[in-house]
Amino acid sequence: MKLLEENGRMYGYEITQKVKQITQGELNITEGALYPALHKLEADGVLSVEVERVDNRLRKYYKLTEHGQKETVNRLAELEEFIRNMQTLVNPAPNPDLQF
Amino acid sequence: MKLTAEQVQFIDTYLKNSGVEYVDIRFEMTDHVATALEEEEEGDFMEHFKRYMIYHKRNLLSGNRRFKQLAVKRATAELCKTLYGFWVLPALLILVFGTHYFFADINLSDAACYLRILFFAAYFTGMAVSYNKGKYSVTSKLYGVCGLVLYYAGMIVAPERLIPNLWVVFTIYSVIILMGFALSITAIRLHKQYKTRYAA
Repeated sequence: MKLLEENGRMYGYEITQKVKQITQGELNITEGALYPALHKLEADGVLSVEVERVDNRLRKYYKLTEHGQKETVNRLAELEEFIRNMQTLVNPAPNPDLQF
Repeated sequence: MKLTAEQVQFIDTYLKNSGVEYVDIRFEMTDHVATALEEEEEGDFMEHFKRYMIYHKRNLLSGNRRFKQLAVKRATAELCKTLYGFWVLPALLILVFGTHYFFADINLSDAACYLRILFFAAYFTGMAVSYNKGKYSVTSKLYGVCGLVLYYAGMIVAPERLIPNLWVVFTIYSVIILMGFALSITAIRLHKQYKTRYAA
């Protein structure tokens, strides 16, 4: 959703390649995971689609709806909060009151 | 390397034969595979295609089941959207009183037979229109799941065998027929959406 927020509209293969590029090959989104997720977001009204003929085939582009843009902000905030909590759990700051 | 129309068609047919039956899902997968193959430098198409499928076929097809579940969910949502229409209650009342008016004086099992024919007419109209140009996931599930429930309620259970009251039987059949019409209206609406979207 963040990628779509930054890039406007993207198609499935483009998303997988972009993720691979950003994470320098560390994260590889498979087709089996990506498309059902995109379809679910589309059904939930988070994404809208545009179909265009490119070369000799049809291509489906995804973009965020107005609701999707709000949802992206909320979900990113939730994710940041989650990461912050995880970091606190993994690397807890020393509490001077509990030190001997 | 750029793929030719025949090579794209080959990918589409291969996916269809591998179980990706719905047009709306298959064309997206075809584009995915074709784009991946076009990233390759020069070489033999078949060789690249075979190599790609060895590594990715399982992943490509694993999403298929999830797509079907999503399609059922969307089909139900679309049917509910139709049933929220202002026409539903007046149509139901017309059906209940209409069936009672026309069929109250004839044998109940004969009346049930006519009502079933009416249901099938409502049911198959949308099916004939929506299956005209290939199978799309949501319309197929609409008929597959919701249609099966209606078929079971009207044909297998056969309310006239269980309930002697005419009004109750005619009301049940009216609801089933109305649902048949709602299915057809939803299927035709979806078909128009698909047609506009994939006419590119």
